[in-house]
Amino acid sequence: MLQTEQEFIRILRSRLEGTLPEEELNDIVSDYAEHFRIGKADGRSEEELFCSLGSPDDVAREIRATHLVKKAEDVKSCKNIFHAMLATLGLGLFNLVFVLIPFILLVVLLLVVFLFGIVFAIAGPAAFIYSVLQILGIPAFAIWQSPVAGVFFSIGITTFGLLLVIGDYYLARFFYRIGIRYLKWNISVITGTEDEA
Amino acid sequence: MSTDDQKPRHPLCMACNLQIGGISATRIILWLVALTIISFFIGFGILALSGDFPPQPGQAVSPFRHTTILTPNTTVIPLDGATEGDVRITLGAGDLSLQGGAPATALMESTVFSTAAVWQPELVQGINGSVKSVTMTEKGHKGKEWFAVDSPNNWAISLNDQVPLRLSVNVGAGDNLLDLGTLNLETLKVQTAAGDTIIDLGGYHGERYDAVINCGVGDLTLRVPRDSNTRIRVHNALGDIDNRGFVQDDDQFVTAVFNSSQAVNEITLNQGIGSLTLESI
Amino acid sequence: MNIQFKKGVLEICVLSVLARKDCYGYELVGEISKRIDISEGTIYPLLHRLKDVGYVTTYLQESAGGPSRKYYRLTEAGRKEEHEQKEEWMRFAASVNALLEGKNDAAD
Repeated sequence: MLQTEQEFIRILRSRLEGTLPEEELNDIVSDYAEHFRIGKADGRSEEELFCSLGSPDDVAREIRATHLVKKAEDVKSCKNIFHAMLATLGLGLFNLVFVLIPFILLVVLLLVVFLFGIVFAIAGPAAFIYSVLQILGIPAFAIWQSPVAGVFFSIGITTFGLLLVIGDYYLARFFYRIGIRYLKWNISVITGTEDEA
Repeated sequence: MSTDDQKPRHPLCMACNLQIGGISATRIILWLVALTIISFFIGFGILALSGDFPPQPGQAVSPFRHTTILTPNTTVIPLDGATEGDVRITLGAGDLSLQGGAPATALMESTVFSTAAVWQPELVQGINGSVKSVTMTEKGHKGKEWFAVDSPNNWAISLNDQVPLRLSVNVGAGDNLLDLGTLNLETLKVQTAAGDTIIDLGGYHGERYDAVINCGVGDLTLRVPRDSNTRIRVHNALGDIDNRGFVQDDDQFVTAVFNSSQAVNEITLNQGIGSLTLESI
Repeated sequence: MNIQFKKGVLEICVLSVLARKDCYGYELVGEISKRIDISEGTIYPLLHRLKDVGYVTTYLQESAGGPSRKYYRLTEAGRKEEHEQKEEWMRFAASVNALLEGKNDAAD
């Protein structure tokens, strides 16, 4: 691979195009162009400058992750946090453990709470109908020890289910905020490849 | 993850100020919490007043009906002077315990421990010449009791020890104990679907019999007296065989005193999934 | 030194260099890579992040005999942050040093 300024900027551009807005991309590219320009005026070769900057792929990955996390912070959506998570995941092998697994666990937790909520919110009214039918004396629906208590229990189950669903929504928002903060911290600490160590 | 198109500066603030039909989310949540607590409070209150709460020892903590104390329901099927018996038992879900010891004038005495009326078995009896027949079938309860998952349904059946019996047992899910040592068998058919089964012929001194045992999923233990002239043919599907005291020849297991020129108790055993224990006692 | 560890302290290094004087990118990278062996490319994304959270601002300034250069300057918030992080680091470093020396004494 040619280790020239052109190559560095070309890789950076090709990795970031489509993710970053043109204006921001130009700003970043101009920083590196300036770096090369001043470096060359300083008497260093393009190759030398290229090497000390490190892999343009790693640089691009980090910029990409930073940008996507910021985007997820500004516009909250499943898609954005997912992209931010994936971009951060690409920063290092480490993050398979420190990003992917917590992310999956949280999503599963949220889904489970949601499903429980839905099940209760549906089973509650069903149990309510059962208890009414039991009060009316239809034996096939006799599931409650005391059908009158059953009326109240089924109301309780329904409202509890609704609470779980609503609570899940707030829990999701909470995890979203915490998640963004964690990803930001992660980007500032986790480096890409470790070959320069 | 939440999806909303707003761009809240402070997510928490925005969430608290969320409006649903002009009422704030906070108020809705407070109402739901209050309603949940009050409902369960009143519900358990009613149970407490009716004496069902707190639970008695051995009773589960649940407002559902299967926590009521089991009421046994006993039925006696008389022999009506017959000299042979034909007994067919079909239990879909529940535990079966079968043994001898019925009164001399009765073919069968069955006790059903069950909570739900719909679980009561159907009993059909008839007499044909010298043969008294009885069919005891659980009518099935699909879709009716899906709330009461753990409802116990136990059958305890005693049979007449004297008259020769054609016994057919068909069990679905549950654990079964067939204690047949004191009976007088002509034929025995056992069909199991899921669950552990013990067939104990220990101390059997009745007539020669033929038996067919078909196992589904679960462990089966078969006990045969060591002094009986018995041959077991095992058709093994999946699972291991623990042979305790039989002489094995390929898929045949015979008692130590086996002599093919005399009357042989033939047992055909089709093993399903699960371990098989053969005991010569 | 562990590469992960170095990246974690990069932020305080950048803030601290900028606290002394405004720098253009190449100059800042030079200041830091003089002392810490790190891939210099990662300093620019860091500068962008610091700009996003408002710790630094940028301005263009003519240089002698060349096109203008982009200078980075610490904001008030950045200055405060630098101060806090520096104190924290000093305390941390002092504790670690004390611990390491104590351990050496015991070993000898």
